[in-house]
Amino acid sequence: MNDVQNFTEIRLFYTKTGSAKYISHLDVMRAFQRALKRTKIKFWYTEGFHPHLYLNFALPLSLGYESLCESVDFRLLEEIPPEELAKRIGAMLPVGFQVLSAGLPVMKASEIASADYEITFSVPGSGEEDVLAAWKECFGRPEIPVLKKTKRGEQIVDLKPQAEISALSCEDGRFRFRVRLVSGCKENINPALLFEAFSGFSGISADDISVIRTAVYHENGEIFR
Amino acid sequence: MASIPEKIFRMVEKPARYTGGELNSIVKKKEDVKVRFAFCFPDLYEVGMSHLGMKILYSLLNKDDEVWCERVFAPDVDMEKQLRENGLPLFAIESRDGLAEFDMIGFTLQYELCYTGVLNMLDLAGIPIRREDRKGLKNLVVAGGPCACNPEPMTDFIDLFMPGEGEEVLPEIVALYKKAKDEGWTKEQYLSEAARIPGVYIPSLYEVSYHTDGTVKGFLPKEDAPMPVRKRIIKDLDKVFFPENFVVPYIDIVHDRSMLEIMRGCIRGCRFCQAGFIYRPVREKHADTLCRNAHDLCDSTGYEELSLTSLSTSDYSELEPLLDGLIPWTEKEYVNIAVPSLRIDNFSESMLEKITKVRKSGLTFAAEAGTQRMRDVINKNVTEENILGTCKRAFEGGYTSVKLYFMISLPTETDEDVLGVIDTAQKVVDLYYSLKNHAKGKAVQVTCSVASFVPKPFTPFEFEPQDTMEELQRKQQLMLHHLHTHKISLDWHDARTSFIEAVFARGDRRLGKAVEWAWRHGCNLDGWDDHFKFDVWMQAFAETGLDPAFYANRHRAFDEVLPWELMDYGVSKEFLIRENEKARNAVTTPNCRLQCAGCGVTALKGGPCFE
Repeated sequence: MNDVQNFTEIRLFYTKTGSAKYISHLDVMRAFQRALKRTKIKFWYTEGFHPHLYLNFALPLSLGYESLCESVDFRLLEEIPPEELAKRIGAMLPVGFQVLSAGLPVMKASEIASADYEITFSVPGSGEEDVLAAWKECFGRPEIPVLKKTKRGEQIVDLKPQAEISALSCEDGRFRFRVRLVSGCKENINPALLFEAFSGFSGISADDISVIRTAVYHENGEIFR
Repeated sequence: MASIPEKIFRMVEKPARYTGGELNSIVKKKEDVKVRFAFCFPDLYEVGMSHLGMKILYSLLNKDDEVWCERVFAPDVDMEKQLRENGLPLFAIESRDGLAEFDMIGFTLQYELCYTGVLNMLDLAGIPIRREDRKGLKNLVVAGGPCACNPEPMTDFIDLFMPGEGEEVLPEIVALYKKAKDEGWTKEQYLSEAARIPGVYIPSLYEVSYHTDGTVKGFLPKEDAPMPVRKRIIKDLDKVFFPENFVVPYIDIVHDRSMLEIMRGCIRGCRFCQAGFIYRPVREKHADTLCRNAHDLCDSTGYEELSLTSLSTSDYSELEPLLDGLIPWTEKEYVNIAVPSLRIDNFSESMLEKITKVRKSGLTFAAEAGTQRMRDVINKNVTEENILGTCKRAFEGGYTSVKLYFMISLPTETDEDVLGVIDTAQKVVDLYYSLKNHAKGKAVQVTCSVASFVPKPFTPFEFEPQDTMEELQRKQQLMLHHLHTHKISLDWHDARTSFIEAVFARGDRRLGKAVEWAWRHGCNLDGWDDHFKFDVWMQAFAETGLDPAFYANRHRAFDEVLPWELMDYGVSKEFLIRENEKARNAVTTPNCRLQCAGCGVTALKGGPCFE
C-alpha cells in the first residue's frame, strides 16, 4: 500500500545504447518497473484493481533506436538525495541503460516540442555521389510531402517545416546526417519518415539505418529538463 | 560477438529474443572456461524462457567457474531465414557464438512435437544431425526432460540421455567431459565412461531387436552398459540447488514471473497422467526454505508475481503455513501470488480466502472427465459434489467465470461419458443462477478446455490404444451438438496433433527415420498450429515404411516388451498392470498419503514416501 501520500515527483535521465536499443518501449517500461522495485526504495503505486509502480516516460523511443537523453518520471515516497537515488537505480538497470541524473522535473513533458537525431546508414549498390546528390535534391525542395500512417489513418504531411536536416556526409561507405524533428505528444515525426520521403523521391533505399536521439527540447527552445 | 552482424536484428520481429543482455544473464570469458555448454530449448524464446528447469540448470552449471552455460532457443521463421540467407550459424544468446563452437550441446525434450526442432537447430548451426556423423568429442549432444523416459525416437540424433532429474547428473557428465578434454579422449571413450554414471543412457551402447510383427524382442547392451537405466532423483529437495535469481527477459514471455517449485511428484496417481508417475516419489520442500527462496527471487528479479508450482499444489502439506509466510511481505511489496494446479476436492474456505487475497485472475479446475464412472476409471478421485461445491464457494466469493479441464477418448469411454462434459458444465451454469448471492447483474462463463487423451509410457494406460482421429473428431462434434448455451465455451486440441504426439510418445528407434524425413521436408516447430504440417508427417511415415497406427492405435498385451523398458523409472510394470486392471473395473486407488499402492518407487528413495 502507499503508506505515505506525500510523494516527490522525480525525473530520471538515462541513456539507452547498444543491445538495449532492441528493447521495445513497452518492455523498457517493464524493465524499469522491475529495476525500481529491486532498489527496495519506496515508490508510489497506482491505486487501481491491479496496482503497478507509476512511471511516465516523456517521449517514447522506437524499437531499434539508441538515445543519449531519455527520461522517465516516477514518484518517490522516501527522502533520498538525488545523487544517491541515481546511483541506486543505476545499479539495478540492465546493461545498455545508464543513469545520467535524477532530480525534480523542471518542465512539463507535455511541452516537449522537438528532438535531435544523429543518423547513419548505408546504400548497397549505389554510388556515393549519386546518393549525396539525390539527398540534396530531395530535401532541398520547397515542400517534402510524405505519407504518414497513424492510428487514425493516412495523411500526406510536409516534412519541410517539421525537419531541420543537416548536410549529408559520407565516410567509409556510411552516410551521416543530423536532424531536428518536431516531437512530442501533439505532433511527432519519426526519423523513419525521412527515409520514406527519400526512397519515394529517389528510388534509393537506405540499409542498416542507425538512429541515435541526442537531445530533446522544450517548446521554449531550451533542452528539456 | 562480431560474427553476427547487427543488421539482422533489425530485420526480425522481437529482436530481444536473440540479443541477450537480460538482467541476471551470465557472461564469462571463453578463455577462462574449460567447458562451454549450450543449453538448447527446441522452441521459441517465449516458451523456453518460461521453463523452470532451464533456469535451475543454467544457474547450477554457471556456478562452476570452469563452465559457461549459455542459452539457445529455436529461432522464429524470420530469424531462420536471415541466418540461412546470410550463411550465419544459430548462435547462443550470451556470446553470440555459433553452436558449433560449443563442447556440449544439451537439449531439453519437454514434449514430443519438439523433435524436429532439435534437428533444425543442429542443422542451423552446421552440426550433423545424426550422432554417427559427429565423430569427435566436441559438439557432444545430450538431452534430458520428460521425453527422456522414452527417448527411443530420438536415439539416431542424441549421444547421451539423462532420464530423471538433472541437478546431480548434469554436473557429473560435465565434470567427466572436462577430464576427457584434458586427457584427449575420443568420443567413444567418453561415452563408455559416461555409461557408468548412474542415470546416463548412451543409445549407441544398445542393440534393439524386433519380432516379425514389429514389436520389440529385446535389448542388447554392449560393454556392460546398464540394463535397465535407472532414472536419477534428488532425495532431499530442501538441500537441492535452487537459483537465487532468474534471467529476467525484456519481452513478455509465457510465464513471466518468479516460480517456486514447492514439491516434486504427485500423490494422486491419475492413470492418464504421465507426470504423476515419472516424477515419483513425492518430495516436498519445507515452507521456510520456500519462503526464503521466494524472497531471494523477488528481490533479485523485481518480479511482481510469484507462482507456486507443482503437479497438485493443494496437496502440498504446508500450503497454509507457506501462504501465511508469504502473504505479509508480498502484500507490502506488491507481489501477487499465483497458485495454479489446485485440486477441487480440498480447496478449503480459508484457502479460498487467502488466495482471493492475492490473486485476481480466474479459477481453473481439472475435472478431467464428465461422469463419475469415467473419473473412477482414470482415478481422478473427484466427485460432482466436489466440483459443484468448489464452484459454489468461488461464485459466492465473487467469481463469475471458471475454467474446467476435461479429457476425451479415455479408455472404456462411451458417448454418455463424452456428453457428461457438457452436462457437468451445464450444472455449473445452473448452480450459478441458483445462488442468491452470485455477482449482481453478471452472466456466468464456463470454459471447458477439452484435451484428447494421449496414452503415455509409464502410466497404467501405456497398453491402451488411442482413439483414431476420426473417432476423436466424432466425439468433438458430438459435444458441440449437445451444447445449447453461450455461457459455456468449448475449446479443444487438433486431433491430428494428438495423434502425432501419441505416435512418438510410445515410439521406438525406427521412428528416427520419420523424424528426419519430416524435418527434411519442412516440419519444424510442430507444437505451433500454424507450423504443424500433418500431411508431411503422414508422408514421412509412408516414405520410411512405418505405420503410425501401429504406435498410436494398437492395444499392447501386458507381456509385450515395450520400447521404454530400457528405462527404470521406479514404478514397476506389475503395478501399472494392476492399475490398468482396476481401471477396467472402474475401481479407484487411494492417494499415496492415505495408503501406499506399492508402485515400487520406494526402491529409488530407499524408504517409504511417507512416515
